[in-house]
Amino acid sequence: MNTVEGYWYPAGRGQRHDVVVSLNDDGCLLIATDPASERPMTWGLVREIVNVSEIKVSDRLAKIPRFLHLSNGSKLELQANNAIDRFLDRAVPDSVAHSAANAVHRFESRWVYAIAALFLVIVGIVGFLRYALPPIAAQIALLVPTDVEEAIGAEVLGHLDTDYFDDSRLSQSRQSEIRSIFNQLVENVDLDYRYQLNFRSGVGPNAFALPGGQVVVTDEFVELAHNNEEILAVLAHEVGHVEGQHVLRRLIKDAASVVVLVTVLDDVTAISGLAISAPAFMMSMQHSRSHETDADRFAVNYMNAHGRDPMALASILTRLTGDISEDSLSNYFLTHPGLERRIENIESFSK
Amino acid sequence: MTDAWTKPENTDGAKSIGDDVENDAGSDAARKRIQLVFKGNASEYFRIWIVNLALTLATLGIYSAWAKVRRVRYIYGNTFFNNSAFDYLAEPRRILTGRAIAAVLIVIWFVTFNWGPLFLVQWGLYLTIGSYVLFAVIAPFLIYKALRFRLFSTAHRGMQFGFLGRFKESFIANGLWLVLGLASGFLLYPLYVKRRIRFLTNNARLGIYRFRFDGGTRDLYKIYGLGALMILGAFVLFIAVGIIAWDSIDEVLLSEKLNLNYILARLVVIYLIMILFGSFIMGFIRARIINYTAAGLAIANTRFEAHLSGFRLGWIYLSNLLALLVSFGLLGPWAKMRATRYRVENVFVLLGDDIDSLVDFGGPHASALGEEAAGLFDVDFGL
Repeated sequence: MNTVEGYWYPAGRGQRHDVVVSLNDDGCLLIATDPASERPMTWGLVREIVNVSEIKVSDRLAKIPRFLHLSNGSKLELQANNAIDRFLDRAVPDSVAHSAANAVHRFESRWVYAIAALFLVIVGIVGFLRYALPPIAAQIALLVPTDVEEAIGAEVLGHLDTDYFDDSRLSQSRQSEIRSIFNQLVENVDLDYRYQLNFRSGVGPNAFALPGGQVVVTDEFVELAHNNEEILAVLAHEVGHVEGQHVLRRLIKDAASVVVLVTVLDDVTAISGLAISAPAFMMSMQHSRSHETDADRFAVNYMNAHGRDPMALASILTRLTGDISEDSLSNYFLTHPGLERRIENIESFSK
Repeated sequence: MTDAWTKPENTDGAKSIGDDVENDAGSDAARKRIQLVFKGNASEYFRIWIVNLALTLATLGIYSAWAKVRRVRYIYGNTFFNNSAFDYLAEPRRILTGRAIAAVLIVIWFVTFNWGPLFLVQWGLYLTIGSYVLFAVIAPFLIYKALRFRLFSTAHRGMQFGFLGRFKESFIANGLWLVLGLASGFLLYPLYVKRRIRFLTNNARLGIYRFRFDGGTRDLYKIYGLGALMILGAFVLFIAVGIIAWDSIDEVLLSEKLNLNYILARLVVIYLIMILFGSFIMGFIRARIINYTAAGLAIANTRFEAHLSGFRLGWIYLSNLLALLVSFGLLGPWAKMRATRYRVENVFVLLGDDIDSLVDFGGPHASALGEEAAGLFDVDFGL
């Protein structure tokens, strides 16, 4: 038998009585007024005798008090966690709910388990984002109709035009020269999208592709290229991104990552949403390494198949990357990571 | 980890009522002033958070409802009024149901209003307008449901909190008045906030006692007027600093070349400055609104007081956010405990009469009310 002190609250009332509760081995619970209490008691010393089957005990959680809800609506608030658990162990030895809750409590109360849980969470999240999500995103991307991809591409290009781009200052003859290279490329391969080449300026040397077949090259990029072979190689690389639905997959992946992160940080703080959007926004500027490799392979295969020099891709890439890598901050936003590795890959694809 | 911001922990239990109570001079002379006490700590909460998170991931999210109950119970059970802890009664199964419904609604919403305009270009405008109209109905409904659930799940001593508000009232307060507040260019916004606060406070009850709210409109205009001035000041400062410093920032970030990367870096700088100002302005408004709400609130013969400092709350928001960012979310539980402790321990109850008689009411009557509440379909949308 165990005797513990606590509070007893009559049903639906604000009154509080200091009580002594004896937790008996036979599953009976005896509530008695505390003899030391100065409150005037009008009824006897023993107030209630209840069987364990008539009470609902709140699960153990850290050091917070346990609430014992009695079937008559009254309530006990007790601090003696260990005594209550010993009582329940003996009174209801095979209660699944009780032992499950206590198992969770045991995990929560030791740092060893917390660290193990942390390890599991990190492995789980990284594993999901790294290995499970890409194939899922690829499958979902296949379900998206082409019109939707075109609408997304047009919308994004519209935003970029209003906010960042200037019109191209390339001469008409130079533009149509590149356009004919592009058209030939598009005609030569059996492609899924209606392609469109856009000339812009104002954001440094760059070439990129949007979903649905919008390809953008900047004046600065055209000027950086030493010959049309290099321009062709980069255009083929961008077509590879479109055919592989890389931007769309990335959008789906980012959306799913945000959902995962929100779930993880759920309830942690009201403004965690703000914190999540920043890294997600920065991450989204980067194609994954495997997407770059896919696009490179696409370009090299095209160049090989049509008797062009695949190493043109390597030389323009070196120049493009060298041009911006001096600056460490912009390196962080670099859209084409791991140059040396890519050049090696391009060499091996070319063989 | 220890929390440098918090007061030493109250490790008692044997503490008598008198320790928390001071006699308040002035108009509330007859009332006892009792501070709410928060005993939660970051290291316990971290372990609870991470263990339950691991279980949630292991069960593909199903356990999340049980995880939520444990987290909320930790906070309630560590919040003491006059040495008695608060009790959270929510059923995890109901929360799970609520979350499942919410997830389905969000997917439907997303597909209809985010993807719909892409498929059906000619209907795009109607869909957008439709989404706003629908939102003005759904949001008040969710607020109403969440308040009900939250209050009916809260108990203290032998009593349960309750909520008498109805959807129609929520629609007027949180729907129509919000639209009015925004459409008037924020001129009527404080009136909307007053309706929102009144919807909560006038409808909340403890046992048979109903809370009352008698806060004035003028104070709210003062809060939002000052808030607007702060936003304006931040804006002017932002532009002034921008004009002076932008060129030098340009040189540092850019070294002669203009490209997309540079524009992104510039966006990040703007974003960080917005967070800096935003935290303090949000802290100011939230703190003042909490103080205002507490000052206008009453139940039976009891009144309330809150003394949050806008600057302190703003600093808590800002530093919590930075802590979250640098720790990849691992300091989240610490941040949560810190913010909760600051909010809880700055609330005071001015207790009229005797504590027992405040909440004493006819027994059988109350338990009937309690059962009624339990029988209603309430879901928690995790708002």
